[in-house]
Amino acid sequence: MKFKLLPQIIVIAKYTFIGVYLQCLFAGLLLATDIAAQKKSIEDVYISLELKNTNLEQVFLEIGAKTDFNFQYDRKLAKNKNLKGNFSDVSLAELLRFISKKTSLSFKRINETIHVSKSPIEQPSVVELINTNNSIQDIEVTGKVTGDDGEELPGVNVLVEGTINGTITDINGNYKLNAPEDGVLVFSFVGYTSQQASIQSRSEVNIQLTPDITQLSEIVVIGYGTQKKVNLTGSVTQISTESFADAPLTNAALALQGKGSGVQVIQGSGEAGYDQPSIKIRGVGTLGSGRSGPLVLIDGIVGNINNVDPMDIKEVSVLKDAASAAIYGNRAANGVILVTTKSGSRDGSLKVSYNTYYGVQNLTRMPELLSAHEHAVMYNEALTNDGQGAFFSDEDIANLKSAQRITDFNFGNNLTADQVANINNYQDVRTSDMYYSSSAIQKHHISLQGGGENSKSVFSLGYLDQNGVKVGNWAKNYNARFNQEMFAIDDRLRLYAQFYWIKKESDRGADDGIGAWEQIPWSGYRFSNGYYTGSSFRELQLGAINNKESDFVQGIVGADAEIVKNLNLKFEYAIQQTRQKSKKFTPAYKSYEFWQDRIDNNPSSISQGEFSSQRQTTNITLNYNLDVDKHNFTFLAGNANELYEESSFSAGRSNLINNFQPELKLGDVGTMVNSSSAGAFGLVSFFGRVHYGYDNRYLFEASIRHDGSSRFAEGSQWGTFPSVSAAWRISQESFMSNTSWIQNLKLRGSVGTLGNQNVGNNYYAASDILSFGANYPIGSNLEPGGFLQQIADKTVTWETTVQKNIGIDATLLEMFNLSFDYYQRTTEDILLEVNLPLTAGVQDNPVSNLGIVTNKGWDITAGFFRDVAEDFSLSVDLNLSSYKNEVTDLGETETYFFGKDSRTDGNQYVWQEGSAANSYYGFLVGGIVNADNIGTIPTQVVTVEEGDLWFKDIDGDNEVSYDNDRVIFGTPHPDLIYAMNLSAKWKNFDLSLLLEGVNGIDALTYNVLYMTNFRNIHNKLAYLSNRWTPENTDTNIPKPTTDSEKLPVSDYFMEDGSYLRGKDITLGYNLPKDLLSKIRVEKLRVYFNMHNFFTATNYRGLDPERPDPELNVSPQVHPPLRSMTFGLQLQF
Amino acid sequence: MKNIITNTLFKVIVSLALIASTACTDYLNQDPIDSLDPNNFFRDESEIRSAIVGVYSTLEMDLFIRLDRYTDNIYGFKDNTAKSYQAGEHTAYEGDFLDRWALDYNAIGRANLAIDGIQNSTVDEQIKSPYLGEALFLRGFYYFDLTQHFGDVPLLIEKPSVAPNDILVSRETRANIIAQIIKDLDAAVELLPLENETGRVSKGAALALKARVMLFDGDMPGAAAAAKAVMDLGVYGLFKGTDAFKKLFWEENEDNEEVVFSIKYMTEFKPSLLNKRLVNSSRYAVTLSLANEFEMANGKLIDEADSGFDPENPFDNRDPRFDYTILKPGGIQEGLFESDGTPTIYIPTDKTATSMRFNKFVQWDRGDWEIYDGQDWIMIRYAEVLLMFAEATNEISGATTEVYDAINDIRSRAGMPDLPTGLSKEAMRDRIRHERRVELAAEGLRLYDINRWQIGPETATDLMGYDKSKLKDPNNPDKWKLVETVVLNRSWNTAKGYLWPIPGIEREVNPKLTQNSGYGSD
Repeated sequence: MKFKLLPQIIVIAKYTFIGVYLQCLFAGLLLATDIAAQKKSIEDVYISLELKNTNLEQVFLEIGAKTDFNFQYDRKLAKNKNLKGNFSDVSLAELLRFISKKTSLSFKRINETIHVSKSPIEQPSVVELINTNNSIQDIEVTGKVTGDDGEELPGVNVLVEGTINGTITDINGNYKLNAPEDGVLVFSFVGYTSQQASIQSRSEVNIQLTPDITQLSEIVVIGYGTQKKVNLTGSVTQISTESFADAPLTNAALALQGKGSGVQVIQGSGEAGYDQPSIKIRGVGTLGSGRSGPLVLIDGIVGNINNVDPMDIKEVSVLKDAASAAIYGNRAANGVILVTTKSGSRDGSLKVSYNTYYGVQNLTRMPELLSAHEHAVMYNEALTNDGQGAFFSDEDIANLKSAQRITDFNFGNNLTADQVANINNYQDVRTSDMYYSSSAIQKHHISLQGGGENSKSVFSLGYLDQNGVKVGNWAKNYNARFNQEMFAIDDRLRLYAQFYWIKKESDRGADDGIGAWEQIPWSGYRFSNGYYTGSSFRELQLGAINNKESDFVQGIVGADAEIVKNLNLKFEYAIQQTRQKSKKFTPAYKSYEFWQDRIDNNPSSISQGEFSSQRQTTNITLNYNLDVDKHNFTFLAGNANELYEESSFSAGRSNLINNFQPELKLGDVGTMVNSSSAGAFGLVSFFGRVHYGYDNRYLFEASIRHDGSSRFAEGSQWGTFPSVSAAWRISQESFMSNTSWIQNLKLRGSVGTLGNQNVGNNYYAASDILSFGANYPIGSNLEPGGFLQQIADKTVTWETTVQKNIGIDATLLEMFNLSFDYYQRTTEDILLEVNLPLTAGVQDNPVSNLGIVTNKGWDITAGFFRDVAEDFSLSVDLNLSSYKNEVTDLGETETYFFGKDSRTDGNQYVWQEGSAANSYYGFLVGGIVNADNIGTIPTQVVTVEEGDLWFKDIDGDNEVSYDNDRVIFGTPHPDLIYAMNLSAKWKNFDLSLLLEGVNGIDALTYNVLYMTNFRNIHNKLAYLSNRWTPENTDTNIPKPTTDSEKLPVSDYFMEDGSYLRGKDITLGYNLPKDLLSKIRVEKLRVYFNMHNFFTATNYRGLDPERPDPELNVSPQVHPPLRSMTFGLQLQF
Repeated sequence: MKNIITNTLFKVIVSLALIASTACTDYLNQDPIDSLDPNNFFRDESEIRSAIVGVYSTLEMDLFIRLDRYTDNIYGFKDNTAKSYQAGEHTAYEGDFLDRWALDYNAIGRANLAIDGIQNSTVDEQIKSPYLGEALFLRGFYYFDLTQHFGDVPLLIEKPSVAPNDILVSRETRANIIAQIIKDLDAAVELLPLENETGRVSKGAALALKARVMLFDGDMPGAAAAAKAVMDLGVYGLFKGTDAFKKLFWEENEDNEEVVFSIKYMTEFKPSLLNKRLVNSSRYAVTLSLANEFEMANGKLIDEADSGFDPENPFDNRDPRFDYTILKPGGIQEGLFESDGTPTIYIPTDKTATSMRFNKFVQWDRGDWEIYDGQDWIMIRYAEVLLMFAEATNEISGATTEVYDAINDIRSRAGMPDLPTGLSKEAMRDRIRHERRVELAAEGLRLYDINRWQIGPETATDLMGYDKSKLKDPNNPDKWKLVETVVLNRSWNTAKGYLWPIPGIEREVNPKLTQNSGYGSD
């Protein structure tokens, strides 16, 4: 009888939405004055009225004044409806029919009151009931209320029109009441448009409610439950999933791009299968690469958003502030993203949907590179500038000028021997053209949604086939989902199970994207002696493989039981398995180096690896809901446990038997190498939450979470993360009832703490680590040597973030939504790899709790929605966010440098107290040395000549040095992140547009592509050909050099990385319903989408949307893609 | 009936929930799976041994031969740090300085861990004491390297720790560093066996290193005594026989009687790349200064009267070690043949700036020298012990018989006549210094010698070689002329002196570190 203890343990609440029967009523209802009964039919009441573009409300008032009738209506319905017409002595019924036709409103006279409602049918509707109380009989009516996608709606208000007789629906959306047999039922529910249904003597009236565009998604998914949006006390962004099916999104994370303020999604790479975008919520809240990502929960279980099929997603919530996220304390410091997948419905129907698109993709940008001739000339200049002999003779240069341009990686493959012998050996290899070309993408998704009285289920299959725009690159995803729910014991018990599988296959094709941009253009490709050069193209032609195959399988089982009334216990267990196999094979071949006149033997090599991981999660929650008068309490208590384990091994060999069977075993035994790794971590958490609302006006919430992590040593394992929040719904106050232009106004405030223990999956913050692999021969044996990899700071514990948030939500004039949040986020005890001095004698740096970072910022969401005219609706959403990041404390050291650039031994990035995290650090460029300034510029680190860059002396000793003259010159943090979503519907057409941009961001381009440095002979961007030469002195590009020290990290390599990007534009058309109904099709929509369709930027590099805003390094390996797709959505 | 089902179901769910919530607390006990805990190590000999192997594995021959590039011996065209150094323009941000600092302290950290672990290990004293001796030797070895280059350096002798006071350590005076080294080596001498497995250090190595340290420190009696102790061990001698000076370094003669301590290499698993580096790269060009240091076969210096030196044929009649050491233009790459069967002649290529390369260490006939090379790198050999003994003894008591014996032993092995008798202390000092440069060329000791003899300014003369553009065809006298040319202008930076700068990046991390004079700040 263990469960007798339960009441003592904690009390809780569940199904907050079940209790959602206290409806939020918008503008107050104007109630009819009680006057003497009228027996005359409205057909017999005559009236004269002149309407000159008169407001409908005015019309009602006038009629009321001229007759004994009173109108009862929702003010919202009367808004913005103006009428024209001159009526003299028409019957009131006729006038009402006229108004009904013009406004799509229906009128019902019941005794002396005329009820106004939105007409459910297209025709004018004027109904009259006189003496209803006397002549009409009451009957029992039952029915079910469902939402637009078929799910049952509990808590829906069902009211007999014109009376106070009503009820609400139960958990399954069922209701039962007594009503006049010719009465009208009014169904209203927060977030949905109210609907009426005439009973017409039926005993069963089922109805489907459609979401109200003005209050879209009123129910918001929050941690371990849901909440009415109006009752939220924290900062939660609900992301519309409407467009998820339209764009060719290879990844669910990309669907979030530009959709919510404070949510920044950046696609770093367009490489098929390798496009994992980075998500940042409210900036960079901590220090250290890869640690700023949010926690993602998919159907309540920690997961990887990249594994979800965007078309399976029903809704997405982003918990931004501490109060909302604190219930996930342990990993919620960087925000939480809650993804909910679609479920079935219990209405007994089966709905089949098929979504597909097909499109063509291209690179967003392809900056010009130097030609072989330009590069050769500049290389010679670099050598002679540095006092070395030129590499190319004048004849070479001349030959390169007329070199054959090669843009196809199959160049020279199908030539006769004679043709080969005549190949021009001077070649201008346009590697970027060889690498990239347009390619196709297609997606298919089928879903079956259905259910019955005691169950509901959804089954979906997805298939994505993407050919990379890079040669040889492709990716395929296959996924299947099965969500099943069963109900028993009068719905007091819900059992559910979920199964999800996704298989991803990909091949990277031509190796090393950056190589494509940097490959030397004059190195040639195929030569008259028949040989090819050694290149990844050649390897690809000969069967090179670089592929990966992964399976992710997830199973969830759960039970949710109402133990006593309003007390629910939920138990859930999930297991996730990932298995990944990779194989990389480089074939053996002979290649020719034209400029060295050398034939190379390239041996074959193969490496294979396997990785597997497993995550087990159990969640147990108790939910209790209590309503006493105007007081509403919801309690939640729970326990969550997680165990994660991973292991991998890899092996490689060289010199395979042949080029045809790339298999490890066929390689040379003498070249065997292999390795393995393994790791695990566990988390145990206890949490609780209380939500209290008084009269829907005053809302309070408090939560606490107590977390233990295996990453820390005993004694430092546990962290406690509390939060409190409150909101005041001003619009619910009685003094606001006359302020009709404000439909909703709410003030919110919250403060809370969150934790972070993310230091890598097989990293043990609390353990010293002795590694092996430092081998040395003793006698004639190579013996294994151990060495200290890491020493641990045993006191290291949770990194904590304190976040304060104030916000305001408003709905104004029935067409503007506005939400503003200001926050302060302070992260302390940051888990930082402390830069140990090398004298410590340890291989890797340990992690400590060190430093404080603050982010202050604001998020604004501004929306406009309007039914502009009949058949035409428009909505526009603007998301703006901005934050200011500052490292406020770094302990004793005050400054950390990192991102060491091997070419100059200078550091590119710095964390410094008082500056933004990851600021750029280096010299300030003074300009180009010329004859005029050469005598006056400060002494430089290396001897400079005319045409070189010179750098400023900061400390005033007139000598530039690494020690004293480097400063912070930029940051990777944008001033403003913005997006605009526009959506318009006209008749059967729909149009949506998404613009997204970043303003005021510094891009550091410290890469050989952007510099006239020929120490390593890489290709460069074409604009560098405007370099300084004795003839071309009017330029800011220095002369070429082979001396890297002449081009140290400096603000010379900083560019404005701002951009505005047209992310998506979609034009859709719904085939007419009457046409479709003939072929039993419910919906058929065709659409055309353009993704990344334009970019406005001054940035000269590959793409301004760079991979990691933490370390804003350019260039990325593979720019994102631009695409055009046609799609089709079919539902029957 | 329904109630029974309900109750049962609820009980099941509640029980499951309770079991799950209590069963998971052990999730929090996770230890590293793919690595070991150093605090629970040193439990048996094999663990101790692996920790010692870990220290040995830091030894890398390239670090020592490259030191000659900082001197008048070698010109490394592609070595930016060495080039900056030779031009006196080196800064605190040169890669080589940082690499050396990092490697030395990494090795010291490993040695410190091993010393602590072995001292606290319950393994039998007899078994563990040689290992402790090795760790102490290696710690001394690396501290000596550090203080050579950087002067005062932080002294860390405890097991690595993250306690703040143990991390950011100030510099310790060179005298105290030397004292610690001597202390470690004295202890190592006691702990180490007379002979050890090949690859592991023995008593003689600790004594020889002690002699080096004391010589460097100017403690001549101490150096003489330590060197003498090595000589008295009776296990070392000069490697003799035909072409002994050449073959001494070859793989087939590894661990010969002259080897006191060497870095071990194995062709397959741990190639040294020495052959490859010397043969195939532009990093080790022999300077004219080194070439000219070699005496004539008659024992006279080339600029001495009646030496018989012919500037037209500078390579004729020289110390036999000249050809063992230097591959002159037109020299034979022994063991390599052209397709017609004639020996391969060396014609300078673009890669060798001075037109002279090394023959020392190189085995031209090894077919696989381009890829693999298992040849050990001798860190300390008996000839150096003799030279140290001679130098220290001469400083104490002048050119005694003992001094002559030691030097002449080396000269006669090389096929050179004995030194003239009756040399003054000063004349003998010059002779010993000359002998060291010739005998130990490219063995990584020249920089130490320049530093301790304080001969930086006079050795920092422009690096010379032969103009390779005049050496195109040995069969055509018009295209084969030895024309001396400057390959790098050198300059001695007096402000910077003999010490390298403390690496700038390290000073950014540890502000307690002061900088050596001549490098800007402090």
